[in-house]
Amino acid sequence: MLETARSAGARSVEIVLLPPRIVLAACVAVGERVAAGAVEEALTSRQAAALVERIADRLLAQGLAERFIERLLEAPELERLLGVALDSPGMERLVTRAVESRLTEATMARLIDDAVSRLPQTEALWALVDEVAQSPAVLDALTAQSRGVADDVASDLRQRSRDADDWLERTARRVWHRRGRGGGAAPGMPEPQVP
Amino acid sequence: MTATAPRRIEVADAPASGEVGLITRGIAFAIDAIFVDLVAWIVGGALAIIASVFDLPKDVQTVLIAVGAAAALVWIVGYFAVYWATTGQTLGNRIMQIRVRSADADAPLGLGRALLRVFGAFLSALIFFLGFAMIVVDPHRRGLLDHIAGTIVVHVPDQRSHSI
Repeated sequence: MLETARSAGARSVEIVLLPPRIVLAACVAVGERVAAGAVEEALTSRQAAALVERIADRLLAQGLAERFIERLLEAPELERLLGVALDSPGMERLVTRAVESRLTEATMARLIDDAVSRLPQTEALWALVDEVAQSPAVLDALTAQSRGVADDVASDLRQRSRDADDWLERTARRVWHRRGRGGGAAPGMPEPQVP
Repeated sequence: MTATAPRRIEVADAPASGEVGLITRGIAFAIDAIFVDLVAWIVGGALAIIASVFDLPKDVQTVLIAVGAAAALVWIVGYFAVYWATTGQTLGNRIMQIRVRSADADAPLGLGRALLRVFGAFLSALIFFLGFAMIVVDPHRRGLLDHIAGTIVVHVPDQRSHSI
């Protein structure tokens, strides 16, 4: 009996409080929308932009960004995360795809073309070329190479001339021998062989 | 009448490998001739240009030409004679790695024999180059100039290959 009376009382309270609740919810909803619109309007206004800018300037002036970056870099978590990311197969696949992509190829070709076309115009390159060309090591190598080529040519000439000497004297001895025997071999007879 | 047997001509044995044949000597001489002529032409041309600046009488020009010709002859004779007398190697000989030496000893010729050899070279050319043709048939590859001066031309071993 007591239970029934208690539940009936509660239900009646709920019924009584329902209209104010509905009104309150509607007011909250309207208030939220109004507040959001006001904030949006405030943020898009020039004064708000200037305020944000001042806040950012002050934070930067106080070195907050530097401290944040320093802390981020010094933190062991970042190194660990980078290590994990670099060791992961996904990163390898990503890098491979990036390297093999047409964009990378086109970019590399363009960079190389650009570098090749600009290199001759740089004075530093020619200074480097002069420096290398006048270095004792390069000059010694060029001298040795030229001397080697000249020696090879001279050696070849000497060998050929010796062979020609031998050939000329063999021929002369053959002719002399033939004439000595009476004007050479008879027609149809084999030539005399001289060792 | 008895039939005469064909005259037997002794064919020389193949010369020793250390003696130099006609073609090698010819190439060495050609190198020397190029060098000697080049120097003569450069010096002669330079002197002619200098002389052309001055308005010299014709007689003086004739004398200068005669002096120039004599100087050229001295230059040619001196070039060969000095090199043969001292080292036995001219520029061409060095390139071809050959050397002129006494036939009886491995010694320098001396200026007298070198000049005699120059004279022998002129003489060899004068008789239709037969003095040089002798090199082909001589057992020791010696020409008329070598016989006159008592010389022989030999190969010089490559010093660098021996020193390695």
